[in-house]
Amino acid sequence: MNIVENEQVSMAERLSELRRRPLGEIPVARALDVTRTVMRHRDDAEGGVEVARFGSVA
Amino acid sequence: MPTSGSPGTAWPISQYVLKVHSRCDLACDHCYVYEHADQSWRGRPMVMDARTVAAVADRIAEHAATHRLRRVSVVLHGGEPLLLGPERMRQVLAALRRRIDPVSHLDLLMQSNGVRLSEPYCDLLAEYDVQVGISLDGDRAANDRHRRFANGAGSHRQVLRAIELLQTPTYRRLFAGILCTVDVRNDPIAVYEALRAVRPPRLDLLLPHATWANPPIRPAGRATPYADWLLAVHERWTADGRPMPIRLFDALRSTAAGGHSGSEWVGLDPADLVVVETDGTWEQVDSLKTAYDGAATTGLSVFTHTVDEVSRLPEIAVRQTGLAGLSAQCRACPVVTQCGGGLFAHRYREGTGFDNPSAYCADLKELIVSLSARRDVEPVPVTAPVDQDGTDLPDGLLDRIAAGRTDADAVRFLAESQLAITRAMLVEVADGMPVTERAGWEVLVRLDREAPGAVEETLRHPYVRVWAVDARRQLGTDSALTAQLCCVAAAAAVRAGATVEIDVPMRAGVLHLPSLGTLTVPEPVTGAAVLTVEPGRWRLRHKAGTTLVSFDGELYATAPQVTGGHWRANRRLAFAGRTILFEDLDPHRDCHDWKAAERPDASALARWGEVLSGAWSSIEAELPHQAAAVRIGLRAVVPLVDDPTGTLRSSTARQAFASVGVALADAPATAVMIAHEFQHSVLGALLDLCDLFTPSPAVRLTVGWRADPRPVEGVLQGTYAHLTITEMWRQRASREAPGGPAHQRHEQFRAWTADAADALLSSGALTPAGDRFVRRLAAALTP
Ligand code: SF4
Repeated sequence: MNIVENEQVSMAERLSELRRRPLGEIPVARALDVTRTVMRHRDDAEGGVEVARFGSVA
Repeated sequence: MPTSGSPGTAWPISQYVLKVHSRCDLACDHCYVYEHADQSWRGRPMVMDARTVAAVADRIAEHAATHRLRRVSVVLHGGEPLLLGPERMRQVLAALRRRIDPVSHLDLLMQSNGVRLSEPYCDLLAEYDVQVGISLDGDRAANDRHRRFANGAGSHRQVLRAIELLQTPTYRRLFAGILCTVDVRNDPIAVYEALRAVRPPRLDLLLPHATWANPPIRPAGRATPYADWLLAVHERWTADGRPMPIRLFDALRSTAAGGHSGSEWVGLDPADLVVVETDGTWEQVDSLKTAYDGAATTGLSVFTHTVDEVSRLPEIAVRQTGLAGLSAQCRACPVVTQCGGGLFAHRYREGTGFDNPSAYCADLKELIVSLSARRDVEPVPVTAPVDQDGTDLPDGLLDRIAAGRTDADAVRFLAESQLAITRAMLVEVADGMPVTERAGWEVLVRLDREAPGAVEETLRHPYVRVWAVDARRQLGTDSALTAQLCCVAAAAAVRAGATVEIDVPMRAGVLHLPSLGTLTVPEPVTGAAVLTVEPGRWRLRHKAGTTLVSFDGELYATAPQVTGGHWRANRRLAFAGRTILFEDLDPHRDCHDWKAAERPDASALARWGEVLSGAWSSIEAELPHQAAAVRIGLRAVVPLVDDPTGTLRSSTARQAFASVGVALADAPATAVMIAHEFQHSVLGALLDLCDLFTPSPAVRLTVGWRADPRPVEGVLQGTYAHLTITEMWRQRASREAPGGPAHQRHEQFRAWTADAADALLSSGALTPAGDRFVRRLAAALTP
């Protein structure tokens, strides 16, 4: 089974490849591409900024 | 359309800086607290007393409950917070956890100079789960240029000792990162190398505080020394393969791609932060103190004013207005979406106040322009564009889901997509782990070939994905968390009836196997243990001995024999003619915006069973078009704690597809909550595949069902969930005489949903797919 290399393939197609391919044969770049896409605006979905992680101290 | 910062609106505030001690044991000459324009610290008590801490905790908890904030963070700050001493510190931490934890997920953080950090302190911080950021300006020469004791001696040695303590395996998870203030007289590469050497999980590079009245130090003849300095660091960091996140660079990278900055230093994200001084006065962000004496003052106090009142102050609200709150020069600037006018405090100039570009304008512009030129030549991994039209989805799927007609095929398609995403995340986590720690991954890979059904069933567990999201963020920093991949593998091995031996991480005597249950050993051991799984029996060898578990046939069907420990199995309850997981064990289940309940006893469980079966009957009768999707899709229910005020509580966690959190209620109410939360789950899964809106941090919309204006995603989610609630009340009203309470509820939900759909359609934030989605949704309101 070939992983589709074309970056323009749809998300649904990319996922269906990941679903079918054995875990050990999923190229890391392909997995990273999907996780980055899925998390594209999730890490800060609340919309706030992380102002205070260390306070604003200089 | 109301947007962030509209006057008179109480914007949710999720971040609080508590000045718990107003003095410092260092006398750094660049510290804004003591060395800048504002000298208000002189008139304040030295420490925040217990009464004030209790009042702050009450105010935060009350605000978090009103605005249903999923998370709040509290930063202990000073002065130097460690000057409190361990006993007082314990009282502060206990008071904050006791009051805020039941209402919202509380992230506790501390910013410290590290000088007084000790093992007993670290144990205390670990007990209360406090993350610690340490200030360090680079190598010894760089650090001791400013960070000195009052007698002039440098602090470098003491700070490094603190960092060494935070790097030991026991305390590593407490280490939040390093905060470094830039001084252009220091060699950028020497500073970078020194900071990289201490392996911080994150690095913040801060520009020293300056304003137009008190401009940045610029060595003669150099127009943009700060940009040059940062660019030199960026170049080395990139060449090194970005060994740790550097917030400023990551923020500029994200905004360059149209995303959030996640930082108050650059970008247009709203800043939702307030400060509490030792005497309980509310203040604005503390960096304002660099501007002029009293610049941060609000005149309000925790004893007399709520957070909502603080949030309504125009000077707080303006920080939420994004582009509109900037000076004319910034608004016209080509890099404004990335720069955002820099840090608010740095814009100050006498006469015009904060209505100016940053005092670092030239540096910011140079930095941004140069970084984007570099990005053009750098091989940046390009993420494939996401569907904005809905054309990549199977035919008709978007329309069916939008109209509240999610059917069995649609939900199956989403569930398969979610499974694929979890698989991708596991690959990412495994790839980021040291080769020596990948034994669990090897087992999972083997089982995926030999017993794919068992792996699939394990990975469909909603909280495996929650763990994976957490683990990918903590790669390289929290090996105990990433090691839980072994627990996933072990659960799959148990399901497969396979024979494996695998190292598993135990915490406080507990080993959790996702979706199966929890094994507790008599001693609270933490660290690696060896689990041997064979068909019908397991052996766990740990620091305090060996635990044996044996069972006949199916694990679910029998009560296992256990010696040297205690097994608690995940229980299942009847729902829709099958069973679903009643998830009251998984440590990752506590990711909802209301606290997860402890494991109910047998009689409470029986009550849950009755409620869920009644709820299903209601869903089947009142949502005929979607009941099949709920029946096939819903995998788990997480019991949440009761709200003492009697408010119904339910929640969906964005990463836990097909699981809903609910607090115990009667069957009709539970039906509404499950249907509502399931909608969120469906829409969340759709949003993974297709962009329905463009994230615009400054856009907030007002909706009928909540007091506070909401971001676009929140409104879209709420509107979609309310479509289903409207339908349920329509069905209930049809069985009731005209004018009854169900008719009123139906009318109310219909009106709220229709208005919110209108607000979305005129927000300008929807993509073509989103526009189509919301139009279908609105049309479905009138059957
Ligand atoms: S570069 Fe200068 S003008 Fe442009 S947004 Fe930043 S501070 Fe404003």
